[in-house]
Amino acid sequence: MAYHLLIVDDSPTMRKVIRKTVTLSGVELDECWEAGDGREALEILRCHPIDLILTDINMPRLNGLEMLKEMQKEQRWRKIPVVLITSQDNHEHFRETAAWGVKGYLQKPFHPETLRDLLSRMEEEKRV
Amino acid sequence: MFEEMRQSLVSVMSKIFETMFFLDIEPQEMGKVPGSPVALLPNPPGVGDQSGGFIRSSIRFEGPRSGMISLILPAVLAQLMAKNFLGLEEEEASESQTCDMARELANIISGNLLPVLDRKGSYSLSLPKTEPSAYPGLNHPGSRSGCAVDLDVEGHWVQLSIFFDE
Repeated sequence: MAYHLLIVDDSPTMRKVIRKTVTLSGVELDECWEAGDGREALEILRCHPIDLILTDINMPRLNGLEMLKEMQKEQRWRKIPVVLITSQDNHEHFRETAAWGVKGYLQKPFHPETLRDLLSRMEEEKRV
Repeated sequence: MFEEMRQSLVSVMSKIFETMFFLDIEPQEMGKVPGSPVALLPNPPGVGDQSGGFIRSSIRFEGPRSGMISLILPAVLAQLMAKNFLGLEEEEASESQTCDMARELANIISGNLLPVLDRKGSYSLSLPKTEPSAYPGLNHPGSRSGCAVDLDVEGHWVQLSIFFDE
C-alpha cells in the first residue's frame, strides 16, 4: 500500500529525518506532506486525502494531543491511523489516545526497522 | 545518589549519540561539584575546536520535581552532527539547521532521561531553546541540586546537566 503520509513535528530537521526513515524502512509513499504543528496539520487534512499521520506531541500553537482531539470532531478524520513519535517515554499518552485512532507509539530515537515493523503490523491488522 | 544520577546521564547520552549520530562518547571526570552550583572551568577540558563558540540547548521540565536540562556543544561539533543527521553530502548544515538539531537533541535527551531518573513520575517538557555563545557560561546558577557530566565526543568537550529548582 502506498501511503498519503502527513508528518507533524515542529522541528524541520526531525521532519526531514522521519521522512527519510520512512523511505529507508521500505514503506511506499504516494505523497508526503509536512506540518510544523497541529494547526498546520489540520489545514493540510482539510485539503488533502491523508491515510497515515506520524506526529510529535510537544509542539507550539496546537500540540499533538490537542490536534487528535480536534480530529475527533470530524467524522472523516476519525479513522485515519496515527503513530505518535515523541521523545517522552509516556505510555499513559498512548493508552489515553488509543480511542482516537492512535495505532502506535515510537520513542525518539528509533531505528528505521522499528517504524517498518510497526507499519507492517498496522497493515496486517487492517487486513484481518 | 550523585554517582547514580551521573551514570544515568552518561548512559542516556551514550544511547542517543550512538543511535542518532553513530558517535561514541567518553565520560570525563570534570564538572562534578556535588552540593554546590556548578561553574564551568575557564577552559573546558577535553578541548576540541572551540573557534565557533558553543551552543547551549535547554529545556525545562515540570512534574514531581521541576528544573532544567541543558546540553552544551561546541558549534563546530554541532554543525557536523547536524550535517550527518540530515545526511547532507556536499553542503554544510546551516545555522538554523544546527540549532534545530541541538534543540531536538535536548528534547530527546530529556524525554529519555527523566523516566530513568524517576520511573513513576509524569513530567511535561517545555519547548527547547538554544542560545549560541562564545563561552559556555554558568550552569543554572542558584541551584544546589543536580548533576553535570563532561563528555569527550570525538575529541570535543560536551556537557550535559540536569538541575532541580530549589
